[in-house]
Amino acid sequence: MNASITRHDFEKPLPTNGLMGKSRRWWFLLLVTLIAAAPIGYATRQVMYNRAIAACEQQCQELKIEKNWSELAKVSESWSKIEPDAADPWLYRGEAAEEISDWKSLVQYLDRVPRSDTRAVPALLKKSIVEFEKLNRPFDGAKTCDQVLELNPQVTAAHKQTVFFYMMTLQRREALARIRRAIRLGRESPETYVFLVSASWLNPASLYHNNTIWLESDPESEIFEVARAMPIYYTSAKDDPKQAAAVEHIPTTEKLLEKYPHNPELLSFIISLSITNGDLERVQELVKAFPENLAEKDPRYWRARAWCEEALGDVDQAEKSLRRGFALDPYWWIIHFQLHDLLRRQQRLDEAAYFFKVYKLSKDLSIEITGLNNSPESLDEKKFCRELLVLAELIEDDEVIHTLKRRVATQ
Amino acid sequence: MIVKTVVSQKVFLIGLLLCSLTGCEQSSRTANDVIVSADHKPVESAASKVGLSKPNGSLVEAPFAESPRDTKKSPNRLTTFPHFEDVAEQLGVSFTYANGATGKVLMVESTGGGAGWFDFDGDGLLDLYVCQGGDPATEERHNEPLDQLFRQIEPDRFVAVTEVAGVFERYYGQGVAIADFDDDGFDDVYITNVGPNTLMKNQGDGTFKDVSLEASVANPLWSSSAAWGDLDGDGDLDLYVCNYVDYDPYHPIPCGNHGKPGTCHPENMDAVPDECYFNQGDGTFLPEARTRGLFGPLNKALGVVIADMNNDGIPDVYVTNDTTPNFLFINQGSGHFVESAVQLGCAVSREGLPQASMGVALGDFDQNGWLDLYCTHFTQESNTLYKNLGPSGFQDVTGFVGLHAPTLKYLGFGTIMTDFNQDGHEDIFITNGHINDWRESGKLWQMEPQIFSYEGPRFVDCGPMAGDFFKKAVIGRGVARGDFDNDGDWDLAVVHQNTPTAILRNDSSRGNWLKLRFLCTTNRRGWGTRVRLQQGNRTLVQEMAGGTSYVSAHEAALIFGLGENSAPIHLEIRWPNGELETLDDVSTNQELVLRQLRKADLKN
Repeated sequence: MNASITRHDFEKPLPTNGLMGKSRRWWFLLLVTLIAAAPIGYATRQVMYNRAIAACEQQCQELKIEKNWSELAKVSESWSKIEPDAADPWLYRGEAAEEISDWKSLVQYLDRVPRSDTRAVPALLKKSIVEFEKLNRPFDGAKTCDQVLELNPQVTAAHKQTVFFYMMTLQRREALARIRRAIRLGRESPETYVFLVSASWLNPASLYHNNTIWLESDPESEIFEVARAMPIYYTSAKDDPKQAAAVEHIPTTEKLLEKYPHNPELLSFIISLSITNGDLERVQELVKAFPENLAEKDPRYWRARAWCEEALGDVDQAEKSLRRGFALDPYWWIIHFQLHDLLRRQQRLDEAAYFFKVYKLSKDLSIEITGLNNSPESLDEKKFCRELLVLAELIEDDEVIHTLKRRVATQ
Repeated sequence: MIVKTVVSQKVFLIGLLLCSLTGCEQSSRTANDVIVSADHKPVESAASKVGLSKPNGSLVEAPFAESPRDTKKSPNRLTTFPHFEDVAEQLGVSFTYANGATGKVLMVESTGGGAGWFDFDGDGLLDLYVCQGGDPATEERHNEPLDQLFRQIEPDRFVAVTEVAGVFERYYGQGVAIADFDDDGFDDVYITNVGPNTLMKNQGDGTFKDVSLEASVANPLWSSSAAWGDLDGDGDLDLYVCNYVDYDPYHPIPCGNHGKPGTCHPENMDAVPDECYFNQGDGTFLPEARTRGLFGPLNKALGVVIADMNNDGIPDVYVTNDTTPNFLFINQGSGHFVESAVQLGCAVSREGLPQASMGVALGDFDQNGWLDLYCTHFTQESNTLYKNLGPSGFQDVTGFVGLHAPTLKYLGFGTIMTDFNQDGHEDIFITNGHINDWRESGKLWQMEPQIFSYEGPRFVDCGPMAGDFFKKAVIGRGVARGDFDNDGDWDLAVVHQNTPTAILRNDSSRGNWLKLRFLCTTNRRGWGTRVRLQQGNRTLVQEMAGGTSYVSAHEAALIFGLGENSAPIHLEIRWPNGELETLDDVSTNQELVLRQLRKADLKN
């Protein structure tokens, strides 16, 4: 396009005449005027903009006081268009949506609160609650809690919520990881310790209720379907004529296992029954069905494996497996008992005595937990924490010792 | 430390038909070195050869490893199962334990009653004592039904002689423990009650006298099982009494479910400690459970065994507790004990859970020379078999031996482990029955009894082959074993609530056998005597244990089942005072009374 323009051309003096000189001056004046007017214009626009925002804010405040939610929704919407990166319009929009029970909109608006705003954390916390409770989107709720913790790892409520969710869906390893994170950060709620001690074995009756609701959000969910069924299986409710009709919709363990042949909860439950029944062949078969990636991290797998190994006479390997289980969950009383039992029978009495001591403490705590009867609020926190501290010291869990000492000191 | 003396290979064998044991003792003194075999017709053996199993001494055994018995599963093995017939009516034993239920569902209604076999008149025929309930809510006992004493006046014919014998026991009865506490040659009866217990002294003239107060054993609590044994090694018999919970039937607390009355759950009741009465040798006892270490916290005891569980030659005490861990009091010598059940692996189930333990059976099912324990439990818990491994304690092998699933739906009480059909391997009898009538909820109330036969490595349910009795659902409680027809096998008395007590005559097609009774220099009947029987390469061990089963007392005798092997037997007898005697070339299929030599006799 400019290929014909040469340096020589630039160096040539521009032609001058009277008309051209006049025009230039006009252009210059216009430019100066524009330069001078721009800040004024901008300032004027800004004033107008601020006025509009202030007006919106004023209006929103008034509408909120008046509880005129539909107007508040409109005004805050306009405001959010004017000022999309501000927190307030989204919060007002959220408030209006909440008041008219428009939960889907509410979570959208709360999600728009800028992460840099100090109100982002409470907004996201609220979002997670709505997702859990009103929208029945528990996985979204859990994800939102994780977002909260990315923003501020010190938010106890988010820790509490995620731990609860993963425990209530029997995603035990995820739960344990989050329990540990909360304890490490010193942001654990009292029931975190209850879940720490019961991470491998708790199957509260409330699983049925919670997962029945959550299953509605995703009827194909293996996690919810299995978690809903587990308390039914553990209480043998299907065999109880009084309850059988009420839980008719829950498939039998064998049917559910057919549907989810590698589900660790189902496998663990049936393994436990088969162990009690002394059915080595069945236990071996079920142990093999454990998915490899989950098996490695599941103390229940190691316990079952140890049982098979012992049944076949490989006591050394059984001990190793039990110790693997112990390393994965050092608070699970049944591993303590079985290690004690195995070592006692080998006449390794000092080691057996150690695990017996640990078992007594963990078993006592498990009895307290079982007695809570689905209401963690009834926990005698002081007593529980003191007892757990003794256990943590015995198994040398420094992380837990550290936070528990602090907690006990302030009780 | 008790010094054990191997006396000699002389043991006096005295014919059982020499009438009473007192008489037997006198006869033996004049018949030094004479071996008199019992004048019983040997029962025809079912076959001639039997599979044997070796004692297994390894500390940690592989439960699924092939057991010696598996390898011996051959066509030679006796393949019959125990078989019983209820002959109570034809024997004249007409008795029904009345629990007095009126719909109030008092907790005490759920646990009685028991029976005991003994030869109270020394005529060589077993008699039967059964305790009675009545109205649990009345303190005024004058009009309440009496316990009953049935005398076998001739073979296979019993007559109630209760009042003639001066047995006026009207408390709300639970169970029976029988032994000759004053060593006068006549067995005495201790009756456990809801309220004061009673010690009926056998006066040797066919009558009894209540000496509870003089003897200071009138335990006023709610007692269940009791057991006799020489716990302090002083030669006389001490008495362990299980106490259950603190419950006042006269002012009962309401319990139930959904507004319906139900039996109070033991977890909601306060525990009451057991007591152990130490015999002072002058007809009196001292309660010394606490000072001797026979005490554990918050136990709700229903069953007890006095036997040497750790093979150290002195008796230990195992107590089954309802909903709390069981106890094993290990005798330290001199009658001092240390509770060691958890450390030794017999306090809780394999899952580390305390169970609702009721009765307890004792036997050596795996023939390793160490006595195993079998405890009956509540529904959905399954009964538990604790295999005694030796020095390392016990292991819950219930599942391994196939005993978990078959007992899940039952609530077991009385239980006996013995070789009923004498095939050389233990069987287990269990009487069942719920404590609550929850039939509306589809649950069993009356339940069939069960019998399992050890077929190595698992027990098999042989109830369907064991006779009509095993098809009838009842509320079973106490079970006592006794060879009432003197044919060398164990018959049973089974007490039911509100339906007639059964006398089960053992009609099994049997193997070879040997029945032993004892005359001891310390306690006359030889409670605590342990016999090690060797026949070929098989060794069987039995002990004259105190207690066992549930609220019941057994005949003071041992019967070994030998299967198809009729070869001569070597016996090693460890008397209650620790002395050892051995006897060679003992023939099978006979009943013998073994008399312990006195030191003076030995010198001569």
